[in-house]
Amino acid sequence: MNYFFFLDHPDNELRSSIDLFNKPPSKTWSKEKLYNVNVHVFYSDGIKWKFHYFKTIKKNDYLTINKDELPIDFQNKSVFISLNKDKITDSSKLINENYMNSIPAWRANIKLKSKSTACSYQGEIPSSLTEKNLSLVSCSPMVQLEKNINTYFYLVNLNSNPGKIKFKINVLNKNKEIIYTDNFYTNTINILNLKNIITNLNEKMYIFTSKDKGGVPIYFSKNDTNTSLSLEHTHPPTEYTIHGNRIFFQKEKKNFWLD
Amino acid sequence: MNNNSIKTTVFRNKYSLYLRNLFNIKPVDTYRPLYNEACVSDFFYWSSNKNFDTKFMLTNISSHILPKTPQNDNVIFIIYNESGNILKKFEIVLSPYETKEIVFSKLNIKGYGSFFVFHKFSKINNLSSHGSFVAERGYVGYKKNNGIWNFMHGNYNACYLNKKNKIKSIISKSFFTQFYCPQVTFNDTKNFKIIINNPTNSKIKINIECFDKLKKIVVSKSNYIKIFNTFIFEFNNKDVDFIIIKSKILFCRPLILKEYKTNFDIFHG
Repeated sequence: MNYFFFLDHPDNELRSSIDLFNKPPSKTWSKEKLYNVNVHVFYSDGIKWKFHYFKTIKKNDYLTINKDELPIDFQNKSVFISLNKDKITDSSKLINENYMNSIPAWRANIKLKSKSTACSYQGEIPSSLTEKNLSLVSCSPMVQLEKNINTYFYLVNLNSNPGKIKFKINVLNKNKEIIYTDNFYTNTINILNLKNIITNLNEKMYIFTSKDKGGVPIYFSKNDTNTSLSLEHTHPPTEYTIHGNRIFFQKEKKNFWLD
Repeated sequence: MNNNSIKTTVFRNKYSLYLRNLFNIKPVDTYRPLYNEACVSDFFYWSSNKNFDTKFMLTNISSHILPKTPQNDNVIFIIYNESGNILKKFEIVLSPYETKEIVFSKLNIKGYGSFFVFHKFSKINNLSSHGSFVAERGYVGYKKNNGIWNFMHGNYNACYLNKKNKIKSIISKSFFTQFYCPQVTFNDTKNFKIIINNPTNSKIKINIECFDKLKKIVVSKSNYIKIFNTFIFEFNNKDVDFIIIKSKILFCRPLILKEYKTNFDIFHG
């Protein structure tokens, strides 16, 4: 199954929302027997998960949730979403159901919106990622830091262990020089404004790495008036090849940048 | 030859895959290129006019796949207009780890269409020993007036250049109509576009049905799209909640452009 999440932003004008579908995008590769799902929003308090049942989505139906519709104690938390057959009563673990098996991946529309525009991407966190010890190599050509524009780096981490563990991330230039280091946390929608970190706009690609943990790397840009927004994730390293032993090339790339 | 090798030979050769796809029997989304040193490219959308621009972030892809082997990357760019005619074809050499911006307004072309980006580098044979091919799934920025660049990555693996530099499609099609439902709602805008291009080797028919919240069809549009053509389905209806795309393409994922008051959102469905 897949988990989903709300993106948070320090600018109070920006609202976070998500479109959830209880059906796959294509039935060609998804033979799932659909059932009604209970939408749970949840966050980690550092020790346990805090779940809240939000609504039920009938099979073949869909639902849009704005983060500001959630209970007040969820508003300033990194909130994730799971779709479950039964209502969750055990807060000690994530329930990983055998559901949402699909090609292409079963996704949700993850969106940030201002008063006058919006930006989104089709995203998900596969449950397999919550069980693995990940690392991160994200090469992004999407940094925009011209006058009146800010780009933010999100790293969305969800781990089956509800603890909030600190880990180090680096920002490198193409010469493998570390230009910035910071600490992020597991089970958190981590966000970093790149304005005063990346100053050389002549370099078109920056590399975001972590030896310790991984997650979904997302790049969000906005102008000062929030009239123009951009949101996209970077491909995992496997996407630079097709067919065959793609994991070999992922390892090559990770070894090079994490060395 | 053991049983597994026989199975692989019989069920995974190009003729078997074609038949499997045609009749929806364990179909595959893309075929394998028939040339070991092939580079696969998406068929990326572009648009350039007085109020709109496109840029492609062209990077040395060898540095991403074989970073320990610094080498130049020879790139062939082929740009088509909406009617499938080549507007521009040019080559660029990238040094190791280099990234360049290709801004369409600076290429002196106007209109819209789609483009391929094929890479070639000398030590590409390291890939074929692992059964893999280079794939250009890169990042395209779109910009309206004085807005910021709105980025989107590639949509799907589409075509490759064969040994004779001919473009070959790897897109799978079926005999049966396929249904694709992007997992996104449309009730936050009344103006949106569904952009579909055709990187297959024959004309395709696309039918888009738009449903309201009661799951009733409120508008339906269809069109035939010729090889390497790009077609924009424009909608202006505040009652549309979700859409379904019908075609014979097994993986017919569209580009979606939603218009808002001051800017737009663009993403793959």
